Amino acid sequence: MPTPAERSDETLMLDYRAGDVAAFDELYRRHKGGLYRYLLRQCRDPAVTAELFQDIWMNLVRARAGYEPTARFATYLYRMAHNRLVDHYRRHAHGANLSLQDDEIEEPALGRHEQPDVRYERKALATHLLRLVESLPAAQREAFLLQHESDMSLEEIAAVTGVNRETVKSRLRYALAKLRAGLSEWR
Amino acid sequence: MTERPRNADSGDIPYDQGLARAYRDAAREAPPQELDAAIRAAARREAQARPRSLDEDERSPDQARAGPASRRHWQVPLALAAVLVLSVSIVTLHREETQLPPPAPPRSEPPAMPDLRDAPAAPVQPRPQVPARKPAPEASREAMRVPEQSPRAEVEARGDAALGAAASKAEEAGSEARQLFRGPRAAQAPQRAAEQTAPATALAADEPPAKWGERIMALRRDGKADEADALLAEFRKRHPEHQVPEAWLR
Repeated sequence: MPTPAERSDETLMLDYRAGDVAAFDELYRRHKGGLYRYLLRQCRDPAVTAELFQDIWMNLVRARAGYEPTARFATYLYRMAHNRLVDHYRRHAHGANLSLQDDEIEEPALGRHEQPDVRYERKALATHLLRLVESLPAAQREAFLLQHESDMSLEEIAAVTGVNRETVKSRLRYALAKLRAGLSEWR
Repeated sequence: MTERPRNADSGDIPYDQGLARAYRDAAREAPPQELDAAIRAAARREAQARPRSLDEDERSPDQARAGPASRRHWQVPLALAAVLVLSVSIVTLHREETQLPPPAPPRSEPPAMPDLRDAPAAPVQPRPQVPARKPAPEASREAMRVPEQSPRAEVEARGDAALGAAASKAEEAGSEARQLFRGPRAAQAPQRAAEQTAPATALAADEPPAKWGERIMALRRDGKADEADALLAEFRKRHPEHQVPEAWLR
């Protein structure tokens, strides 16, 4: 029998459904980082991120009996996360900037930075890039994060976010264009 | 985080390898260790708290992975066992019946009303005495009687079972076998108790998402935002992966 590390996500989830706790540990290890960063970039508050993160995993645990591998496990997990985020925004949103819809196409709010000290260039680049990502409109940011944190195809991102493939493609194009522009002085 | 999206090479997907590498280097946050520990412990507790079905311990992981479909393999023997138990009960009951004093001959169907205008007046015959039955065998027969269930009650029981959440399906499968031996009435009792204590929002558990949506939107139209939110929260629990349309939220 293959070890947990050798099994697919979907198999691990089915094994956990059957009571195999080690399968859950492996599944959690694989996805915890990506999911955590996806949430952190979206809501920008570590305390809220921790709360949402825990809710999502607990929902997954509670819903395990009804799990059927009809799609990639990542799609299932991130759809839960997307839904939880929408709920969170709805309860706490005070402005349109929290919407996950294509309501605003805005330029990154960041100005040009001073040339950083060479010793810290790498770290500064990382900080700058993360700020650029956070400054993207929510829908573009979500598409970018799903692509880079969970290895999703256009179709899978579309399934998670509830829009069509072309919309996802457009969001990714906008996001990449803005990030490239924001990084132009560093490249 | 991955090296490259799976279809990035097709040229169809917007992707920048340099940007992806820079993002990989930059984004290294991870959940706090105490959060990790709490989630893993909760997952372990949930998995261990789940009651096991009768034959689960003997199943291989592959069978267990196959899910509810593979559980059906014990349902046929179980049904046969239940039929056997019921048959023995009926045979026993029948033997007791034959050991009782012979019952009075059944009253024949009253003949069709004769035309009294033509018939002569007949003397009134005394009614034959029916021997009284012994009370003890009656009581034992009552105890042995196979429980009856009206079609309506059966339908209700089926409906109650359908109300169970997806998360409790496996538990129900495990308890189903035990309930079969106790009889349908015993199975109905906890279901009815659950029905009485369940919140009103749980009543739509077996309905398709579209029905949930209609109810939620109807509540919102009626200005019952709290009830709509509660129903939405219940829907989220039962269908966590379902995409909620914007109209349900307004």
